[in-house]
Amino acid sequence: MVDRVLPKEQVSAFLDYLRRRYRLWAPVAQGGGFVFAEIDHPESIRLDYPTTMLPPKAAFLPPNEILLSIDMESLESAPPPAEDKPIALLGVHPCDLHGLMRLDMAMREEPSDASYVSARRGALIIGLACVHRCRPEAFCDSMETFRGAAGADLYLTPIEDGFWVEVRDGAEESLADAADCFRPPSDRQKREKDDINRQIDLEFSGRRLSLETLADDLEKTYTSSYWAKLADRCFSCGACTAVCPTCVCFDVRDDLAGGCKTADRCRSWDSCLLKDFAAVAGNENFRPKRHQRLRHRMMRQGSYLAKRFNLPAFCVGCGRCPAMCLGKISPLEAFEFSQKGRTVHV
Amino acid sequence: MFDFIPEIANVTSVRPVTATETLYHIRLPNRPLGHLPGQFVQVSLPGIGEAPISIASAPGRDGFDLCVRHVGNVTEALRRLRAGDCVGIRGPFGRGVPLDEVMGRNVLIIAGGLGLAPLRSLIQYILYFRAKFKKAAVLVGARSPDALLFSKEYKAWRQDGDIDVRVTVDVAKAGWKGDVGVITDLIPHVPLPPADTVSIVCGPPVMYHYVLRTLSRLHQPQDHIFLSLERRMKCGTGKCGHCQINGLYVCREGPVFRYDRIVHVPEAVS
Amino acid sequence: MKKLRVAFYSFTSCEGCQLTLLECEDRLLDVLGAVEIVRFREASSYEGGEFDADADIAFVEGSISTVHDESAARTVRSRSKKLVAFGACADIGGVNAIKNREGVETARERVYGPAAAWIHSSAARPLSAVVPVDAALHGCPVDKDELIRFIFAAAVGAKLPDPAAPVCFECKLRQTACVFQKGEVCLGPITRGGCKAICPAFGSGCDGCRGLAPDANLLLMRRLLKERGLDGSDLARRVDLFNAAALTEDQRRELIGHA
Repeated sequence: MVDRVLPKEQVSAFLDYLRRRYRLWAPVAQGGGFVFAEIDHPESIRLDYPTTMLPPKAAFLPPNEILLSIDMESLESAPPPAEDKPIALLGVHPCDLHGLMRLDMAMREEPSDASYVSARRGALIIGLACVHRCRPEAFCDSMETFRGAAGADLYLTPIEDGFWVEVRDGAEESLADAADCFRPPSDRQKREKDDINRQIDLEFSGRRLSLETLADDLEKTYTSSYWAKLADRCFSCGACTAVCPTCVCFDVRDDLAGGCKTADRCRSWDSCLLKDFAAVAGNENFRPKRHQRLRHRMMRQGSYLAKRFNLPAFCVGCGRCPAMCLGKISPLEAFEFSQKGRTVHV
Repeated sequence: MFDFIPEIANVTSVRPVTATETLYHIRLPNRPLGHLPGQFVQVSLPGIGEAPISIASAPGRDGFDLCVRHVGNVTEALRRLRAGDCVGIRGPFGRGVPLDEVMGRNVLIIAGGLGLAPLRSLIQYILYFRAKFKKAAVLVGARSPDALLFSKEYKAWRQDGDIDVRVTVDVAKAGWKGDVGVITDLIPHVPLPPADTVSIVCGPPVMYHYVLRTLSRLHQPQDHIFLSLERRMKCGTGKCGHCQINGLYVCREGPVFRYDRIVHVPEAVS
Repeated sequence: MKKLRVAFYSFTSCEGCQLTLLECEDRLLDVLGAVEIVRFREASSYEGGEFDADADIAFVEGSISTVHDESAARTVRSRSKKLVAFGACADIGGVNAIKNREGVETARERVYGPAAAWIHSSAARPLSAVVPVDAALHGCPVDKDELIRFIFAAAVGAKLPDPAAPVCFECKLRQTACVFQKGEVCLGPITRGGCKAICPAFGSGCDGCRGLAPDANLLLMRRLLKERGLDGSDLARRVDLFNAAALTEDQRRELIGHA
């Protein structure tokens, strides 16, 4: 890890560098909120954003993508040509960095997904510290995902002079041509950065879960009537999975293009909350009830995938799903329910 | 690494099995499929999509069989295939029957409805390598005599393979001389010692509970029972989530599971 | 392969769904390359009988609200291999069915005045109330992309899967700020998607034109709207805009509080 400072007056030069070398994605304002978008005009970038509608996973796993184009006559198929430049994701908050790491685990678990690997190849991930809680629904403190440079090539902490930049070992190379933008940090800047980190620890000190036992605790609730009660507040609309940084479920279907001469085999985000998600041909549905699907999602986030990838939880507590859910269902309440009576309040 | 690119395979023969099922023989142009009994492939038609289909023939160099029930979008469209046509194939996927745990023992195969399709792969394997297995029995259940799969092959299984094949149907019709009733009724009549017998079960979801209850009453150890589970396998690599049962991806960790490993997994067979 | 013979017909409707196909201007040649259109009054100068073609697929727009509609629907059914309910009126009764709730006689008198006795009309019903329907394209109007995909899929012998996700799902993918949370009444959570959540994207709540989503949580919707001060007749008015003929009595009770 190397520490640098990106002075305010160098920010625009750095953005120019990023745009030359990468397809730059960053948060911008849209419709009263913020979204990650590919950047045409650097002045539209809003690094003061609290959180985005969709997580940055869309950069590597788009909501809709063409996996293959198949010639209807010959049946020969080929993936679309790879993009000429890799993606740089700028301004990724810690919860989303943890989300991207989980996305990587799921999509890169052998056999890794070719389309994802191709989109992810050579990508530069630039994290951005959260100094304040983005919204009341966020529970990144409980999930212990509010902090850290994990998963980022560069990690920015806003300081008075610009940004404190932690450069991951091995990431210096991708910055070689932008070296002029960075300065060695001064002692004063270091003190300021340490102060900010202490402030962050204070801001996110509301830990309410015992993560070590969460997966097992949650599985013990499997037969509880709690789930049916919780499902009274669930539309099973799938909004929660759509905005989730770690939900990766997808559907694959064929779309015909150009008068049926080619078929595009397309991947789109799917949701385990939707009625037909676990249905098979012949009218069999393995999770026909709303509460079964809701429970499945919560278990997937709190237990199944956590165990699979040896993590305390798959959910990163970003707070998007409880904020979007009209029934105000939060994974935190389900997780807390499973630890009733043993919850740690710090 | 995997992409979704299918291999273009040749359909070398098409044989109707019942009114709703068809048997396709398929060859890959450049390689044998290299599957184990119980594995599946993704079959695709361009513009229509992919469907997971279990492999219905023993591993071999000369192509493979797929027994397709025409109930979905893709499988309905497969009706139009004729010998000489092409289909897309990906796979084989998943874990099949672990042959080393079956060989050297008695084998009890319990197949309900379309469940006989993947198990035919194992039956053929037993016929090829008969000496490697002790006694073998196949129990077949179907809705009606018309719905029986591969009924013309039972004679050869009995005679060439010395396999005890027993058949029952839910509803008989004129001319039916066999058993009528549920498949679990057949199990106690098979004279195989549970401790030295491996059972392999595949059928409609409702069947597992009753078969497992019967096997348990006969004191068959749970690690001697293998279940092939149906789910909505889409990607085949444990990513898309559709086939997930709790922490398990059926397309990767299954579709064939040893019972003791899923007995406590809710949703699997309960 | 022989081209699929496709016919378009309309009953009680504004014919806007047919217009939707005509508005797919840059893709019309592709459509004509894939299928043969044998009847399409709105787009042709053909002056023969209207229901006299044999078709592989008939797209039928409009609800059934007259004796003529009903007998023509039977004719179309008998001459078509597949019948598609084309748009909200044919699919769920749609706007036309508002009158069912106030009473057909009252409606007739209000619309036709003194001439009411001369006009026959019945309650507006979806196409499926009269003849078996093979598939439906939802919405008022139907979604262009979905329509084109449906036609292309049919041309190669496939059936487009019915969208299962409620409007909310696509609304999130589109990153539209939630209009329900902004205080609008939006039926998105209980309405079948596939429309790319176009109404919320333009700032207005979903009116439910694509019918109920599978497994819609109607009790929850009622509770949330009640918190907004919407109850009984307000709610009924909103729901009945498109779904007056679509909900079962039980569903109405769950959603509105009375049948």
